[in-house]
Amino acid sequence: MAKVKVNLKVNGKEHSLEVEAATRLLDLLRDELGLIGTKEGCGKGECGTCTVIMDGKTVNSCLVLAPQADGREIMTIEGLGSPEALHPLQEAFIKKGAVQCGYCTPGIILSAFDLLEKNPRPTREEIKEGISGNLCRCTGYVKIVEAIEFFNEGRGEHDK
Amino acid sequence: MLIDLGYRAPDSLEEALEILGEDSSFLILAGGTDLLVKYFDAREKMGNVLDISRLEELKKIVIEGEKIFLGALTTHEEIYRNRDLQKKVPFLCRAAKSVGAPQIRNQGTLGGNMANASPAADLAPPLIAVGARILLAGPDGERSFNLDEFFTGPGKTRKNPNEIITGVEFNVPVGDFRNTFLKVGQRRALAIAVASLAIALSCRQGKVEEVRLSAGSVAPIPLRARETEKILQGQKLDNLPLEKAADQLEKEASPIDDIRGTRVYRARVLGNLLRKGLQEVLSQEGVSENG
Repeated sequence: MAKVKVNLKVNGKEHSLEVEAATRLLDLLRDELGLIGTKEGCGKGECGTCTVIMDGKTVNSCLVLAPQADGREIMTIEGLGSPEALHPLQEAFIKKGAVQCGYCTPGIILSAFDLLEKNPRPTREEIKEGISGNLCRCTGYVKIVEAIEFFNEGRGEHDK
Repeated sequence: MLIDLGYRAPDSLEEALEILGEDSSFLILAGGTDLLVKYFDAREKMGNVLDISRLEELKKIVIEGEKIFLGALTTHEEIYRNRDLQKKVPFLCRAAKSVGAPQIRNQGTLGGNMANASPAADLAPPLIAVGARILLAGPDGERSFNLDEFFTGPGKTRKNPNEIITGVEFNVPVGDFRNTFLKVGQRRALAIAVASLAIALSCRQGKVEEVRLSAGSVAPIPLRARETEKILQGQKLDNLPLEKAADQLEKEASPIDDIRGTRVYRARVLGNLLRKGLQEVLSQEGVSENG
């Protein structure tokens, strides 16, 4: 396959790259840009571990060809917080013990972040629906849902 | 001069059709949720890729009264979230919502769901039940098919390799129109249907004026259950031959054994979906005939 030029914005920063047409967005993010917070799980759109936000919508980056992301705006977990300055949603996951092995965590946090952007007051059922595309094999999800609720309660107080 | 045409992403349908007119070997890529799974371990085998995801003209939803056009690049999420569609064809929105999970619904398109032609394609049963036509454009012009005549086998349709699906169109029945979509999968998210059923029922003066039934995952193609429809046609709503219809539907289906379910189980589930679905539509508030 041919090399294709891809211009895209990742976490607010413009990038101009040349990649093989068969490259996935997931590979571009990890191998070309070194953003290894985005994980590969199944590679077939079943587990959601590679979730990123593209033009304001969550997508599985394993199912997007990198050239399809040309001209688009991507947000990865690195765009939400940094080790020095975690996003309050990330803090909530730590505080509530919602992280065990941690492999699914970046994807789940981005799904939760996107849900809360669109629906700032989700019910527990809506939270479960919002993260239904993300598998976690450690926690059983209870603490993840609690962490999202905890973050949202805290955010409610900030709003006042 | 040799030009490597491995990947093309045209901005207009016209340009896309020109490319296909010159070389129909291009693999047409839209949302990627089926193709990138199919080529998971061999993406180089995708060959020449025609990425149609930038064709704005295929992203339209047009609703003019009862006449509805859905562009081929409409995503499952856009169908599920559309308030007019929720009012006019709630079973289509329910089917769209039953697909995958948010990420898949954000990426996967209506046209892709049709082109992939899985017997389990969730949008097919409600679209068949509402009498949709599928619209194609090719280098030699436009064609359209009734959707229930479009699928020819698992992964096979009447679309030529040099044609692009541009959308579907249908008219929402006027008057007392009731509908539902039921799906049984192995879990609630990211589940491929073990069996699904769409029911579209037009009622008049307490009777079934017109009924269309379409089932998923129980035949080589999304099934239009015409024989079962005949049993229900013209019957009184307060005395529908539920058992006879369910038996006929089980006979009309030709499911297979696979990892998601057995032939026997699928047929049984399908009969139950009809019983449950008909009870559901009977309890729906029909639109008043004077209203």
